[in-house]
Amino acid sequence: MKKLFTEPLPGEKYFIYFMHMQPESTTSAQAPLYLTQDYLLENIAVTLPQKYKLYIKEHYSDFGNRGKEFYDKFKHYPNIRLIDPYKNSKQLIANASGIITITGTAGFEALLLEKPVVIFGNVFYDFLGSVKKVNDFNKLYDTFRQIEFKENVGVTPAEDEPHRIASSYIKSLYKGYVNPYYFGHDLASEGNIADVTAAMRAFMNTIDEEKLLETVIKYKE
Amino acid sequence: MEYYYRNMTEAEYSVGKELVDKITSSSAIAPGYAVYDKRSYTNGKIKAFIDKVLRVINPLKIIEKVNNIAKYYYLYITDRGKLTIRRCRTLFRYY
Repeated sequence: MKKLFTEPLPGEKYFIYFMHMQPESTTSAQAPLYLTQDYLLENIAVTLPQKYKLYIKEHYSDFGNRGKEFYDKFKHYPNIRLIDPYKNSKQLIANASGIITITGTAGFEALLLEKPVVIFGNVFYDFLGSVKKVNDFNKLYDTFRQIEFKENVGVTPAEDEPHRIASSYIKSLYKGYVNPYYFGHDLASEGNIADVTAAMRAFMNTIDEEKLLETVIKYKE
Repeated sequence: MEYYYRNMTEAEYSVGKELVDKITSSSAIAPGYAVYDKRSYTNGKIKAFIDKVLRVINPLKIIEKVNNIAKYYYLYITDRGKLTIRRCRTLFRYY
């Protein structure tokens, strides 16, 4: 399997696609129309402007699950390069012309590194100006051309844009730990349960019930 | 996040400056990865956590709160621990 993956070539211009681990909520819940990542990748490969390569980085937690046949499909595309899943993502993002992800947090990291991001699903940062949300494959080519144009002209986000993004992200967080893997905290401690339940209540209060009801009525029709 | 992004003053940008500096200056992706230890958490511990949360917040009470809407929306904790409300089509998914 490892023979399929290569190193990035120095000086090569590329867009990088970060594969999603599946099954997972990031695709199943946030982008259920994009579950077949190979189909999506083939569409990206044929619409990417000629001067760019498409780097595909497998999710390191999913490495080995998809089987060789999955990656073999990409051999027919001369502009695709499969990148070692254990390569440093941050370095790859920093050198890329743009990032492509369905709903991944790699996109958020790319925004902090002032890189354009192309996404396909619903994710917390999808409203930002540097994020291009693609709902129609016919618009994919134009999206890449826009990014290429901005790169050629040298258009970059405002200097303090990453600070603004990070600040609003931090401010929008609730106190409490719900992820058992990344933090050395006792999830079931009294303090954490109080924080998490308070966060859930606060979250519920942010829901605009009238707006939701309107959606439901529309949905019924 | 969108609300804070749109209503943020320049003076408040400093909150995120530390995070951006950390990301741009080191090779670490996120500070939390440093204490990553999957082995220290068993499924039992995760279940105990969810049980305790549900003891305080009854999901059915939340559904009552949104009343009519409850038929179409449900609250869940995703496999990565995010708290989300999702539209659904059947009542079965509440349970």
